[in-house]
Amino acid sequence: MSILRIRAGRWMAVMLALAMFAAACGSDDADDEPAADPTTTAAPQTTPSTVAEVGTTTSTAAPEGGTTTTAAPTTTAAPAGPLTGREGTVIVGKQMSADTSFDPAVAFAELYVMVLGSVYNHLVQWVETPSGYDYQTLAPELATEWSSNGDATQWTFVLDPDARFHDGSPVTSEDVRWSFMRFKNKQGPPSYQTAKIESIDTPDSGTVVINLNEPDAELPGLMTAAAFAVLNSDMVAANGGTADEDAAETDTAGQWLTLNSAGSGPFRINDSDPGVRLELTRVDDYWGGPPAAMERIIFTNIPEAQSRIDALSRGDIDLAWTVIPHQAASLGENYTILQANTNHWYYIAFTTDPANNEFVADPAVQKALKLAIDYEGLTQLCPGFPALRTYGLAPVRLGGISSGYERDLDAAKALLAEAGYPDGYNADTPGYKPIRLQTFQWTGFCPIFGDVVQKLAQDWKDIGVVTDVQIRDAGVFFTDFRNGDLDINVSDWFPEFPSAISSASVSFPGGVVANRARWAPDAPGRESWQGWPGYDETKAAGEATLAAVDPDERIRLLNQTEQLSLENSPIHLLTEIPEWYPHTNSLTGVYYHAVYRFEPYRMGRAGS
Amino acid sequence: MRWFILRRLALTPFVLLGMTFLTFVISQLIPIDPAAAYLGGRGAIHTDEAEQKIIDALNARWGWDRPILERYWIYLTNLLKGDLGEASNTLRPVGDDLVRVVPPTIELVLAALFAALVIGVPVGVFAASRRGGLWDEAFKVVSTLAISVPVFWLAIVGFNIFYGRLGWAAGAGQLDIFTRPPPEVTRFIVVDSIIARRWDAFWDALHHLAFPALLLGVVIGFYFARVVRSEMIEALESDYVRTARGKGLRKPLVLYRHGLRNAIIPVITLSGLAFGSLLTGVIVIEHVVGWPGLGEYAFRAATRLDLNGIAGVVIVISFTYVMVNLLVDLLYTVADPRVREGRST
Repeated sequence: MSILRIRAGRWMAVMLALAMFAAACGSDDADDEPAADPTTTAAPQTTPSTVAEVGTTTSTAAPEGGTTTTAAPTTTAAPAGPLTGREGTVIVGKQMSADTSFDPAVAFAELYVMVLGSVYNHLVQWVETPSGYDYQTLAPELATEWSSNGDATQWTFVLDPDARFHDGSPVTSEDVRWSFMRFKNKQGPPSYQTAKIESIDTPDSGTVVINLNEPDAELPGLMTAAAFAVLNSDMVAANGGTADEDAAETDTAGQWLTLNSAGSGPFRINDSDPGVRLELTRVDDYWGGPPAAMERIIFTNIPEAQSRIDALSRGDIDLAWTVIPHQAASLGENYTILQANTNHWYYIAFTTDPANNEFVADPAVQKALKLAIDYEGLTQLCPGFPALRTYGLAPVRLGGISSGYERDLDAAKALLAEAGYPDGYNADTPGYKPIRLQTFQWTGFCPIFGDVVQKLAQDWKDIGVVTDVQIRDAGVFFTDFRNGDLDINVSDWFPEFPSAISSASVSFPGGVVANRARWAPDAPGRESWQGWPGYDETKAAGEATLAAVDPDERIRLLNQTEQLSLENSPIHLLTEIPEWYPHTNSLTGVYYHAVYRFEPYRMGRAGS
Repeated sequence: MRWFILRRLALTPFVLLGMTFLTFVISQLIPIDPAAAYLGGRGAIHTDEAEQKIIDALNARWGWDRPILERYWIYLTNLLKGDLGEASNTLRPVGDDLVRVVPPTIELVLAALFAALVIGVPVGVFAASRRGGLWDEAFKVVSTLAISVPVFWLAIVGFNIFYGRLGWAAGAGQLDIFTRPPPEVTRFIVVDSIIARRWDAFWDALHHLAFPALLLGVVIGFYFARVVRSEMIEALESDYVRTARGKGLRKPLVLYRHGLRNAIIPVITLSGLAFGSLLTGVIVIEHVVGWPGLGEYAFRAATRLDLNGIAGVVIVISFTYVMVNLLVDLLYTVADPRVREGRST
């Protein structure tokens, strides 16, 4: 054996030693955590070990003709006795790069809403049920009762006198006013939610009166939106916060609110390294009920979905924040993949402006294209993990209509022929402009945007309509989207709180989504308006829906507007967008919340 | 030599200025309204009026609606005061962001470079010494694979195998969830652990560093190895090596003292160039292993059109490139007497 061979062998030995070193260091990390042992047998997900009790609500007519809602006190019980150590710690792996602010007035990210839901309280909350949440019924949180005047332009909330911030100070009407006015005046991206709030009065320390500039029967529901968190105004003001009109320029509390908390919720921020790590700890003397079962919630940044699944399988995390379900299929029986029906959906918008595309802007063509869509096929684009179908302008479970278009190629072809296109439409034909079918690049969903538009293009080929599929950078897409420059676009809508009417209203004539299709005489980018079949009728129906106060009447009017929209509207919902959250079975009380994603307050450990 | 260094250092600010200007010009050429892009997909704004109000506020805050030259002038004047602006993606000063994300990346890149040299040089020498043999053929196949397989795929699969299945590699991040970080002194977590004598954090940090550094090191290392191999083959056929052999020197002495010493010079140049590949590679690796570094920051800034963030990253990378190339030039003069003598005359 030559010396060279010996030296080379030594190098290989060094490399091997390095590998062994890595192996030795890494061999015990999962085994050292008995509480996270994935072999732990858990109670079935659908039968959590404990079920929170919630208050009940009753609605009666108020003397002025408005509505009053009084509620029994919420007795939201934590799942079990307080847990500590690893057993009392929930570790969540998440892509955290966008989770860089927890200031209610400026942030827009997933973790932000969860933090605002756990660290802060809101005036009201959605009722908890054994399997999740009831988004038709509100329960008290900071407010024990609420009522409106006759036309829902003024709402009065009576605060719970027992409500306390983490520092022990009482939650007053001034805190509510200050928080909401700061939110409005900061003019951050979420501030559109305050657009209807004209002023807020505080006749006494326990009463908040919100005056609106137009009727809004859904204001209490809006109060569950994450950004309407109630802050300890003295504490935030002492750290640079202001609710004055010039808050956009003078408020400097954003960074402080990202690293600290000033709330009254069941958790507080203990450690925050934005974009990298977040640790919430239990408030032991929580005013709203017994302390949470879990002592700590730790979020750690794992940007890649497959890496989150690896971490879950190693027992390093308890819950992976969204994955593509097929990736999680290998996890086995000790894990549950929670399918979250998210009140988040894909919709399609056809331009109504011939200046964009004359063919697409033909009402008969739009109807033909809607008839040619394979709606059931769209829900199956993520094989084995079907999405929920939508029919009108809002999800069925929130009150939207439950029937609508079904695929009918013959009817679609007949309509095309009627519109003057018996052979379909192909840009190869002289004088025909290409149909730009556009969406944007975004991953993390299943199906992804690209899959949806490819499926649509395929469906329309069956009636001879050939489109030019363009999957664009999100920034470029939204620039053109805002200008209404797109022929046909597929986008998504994720409302700030679950409401059929609030969500559907954006597609009513004059709504922001309708404007992207230039479906209004004054829509951005529209230079001329020759009218549109059924436009005035649909507009009137939409306005009547928004003006109605009685909940049942509102849904009836919404459904009427949806039926008119099926005929007339260039906007059509395609399918809901589910999200998947795999977690270890040892973690209980994992319910998707349509606003906050999850409430750690409900979480516990199997067998504890 | 002194003048050479001073000249290069004097040119650095101009290089950085040029890079920032190019960044601004390129960002202007993209047909994107930054405010619309910022809002896109982030919210469900119900009316155009409300949306316009928010867009006006965003433009007022970041100056996105101002002419490019005005924006650049404001940026430059702030830059001279050490202010890199506010990142629209993180809502923090870019300078603060960079102070947080640059050290983890430097730590990773240096470890990867070390691994690449440790892997690449001996493997290249070994392959050259077995030229045409089975080992050499195997080397060609493996090195081709290592260089041509996409790093992204390699990282995901590697992490899945070595962490997810075997449990050899550490999980995401720089430390385990329950390891308390050492007090920040240099912000290099390995160094800070030593300073604080926190050996638990030190070993944990090394463990977390091992997988991404070795993965990048293997990819770049095989690149080095190919160069070393070809340079070594040339050196081994040269007269001076033949003379050395003729003098009866032992083979390892011939290989390492006479052969490798000459073959290593291109590797020094390559190390500088490899820095670029490493910076590209870390974007991918950092994403897969949740490394809180510059790569992930750059990726987010670019995809969210955070112009100040992008400009900050460009400045850091440009500065690093200039400095690394300067260092390479200096090392070159040390390693190659011909260059040193040429410069001094």
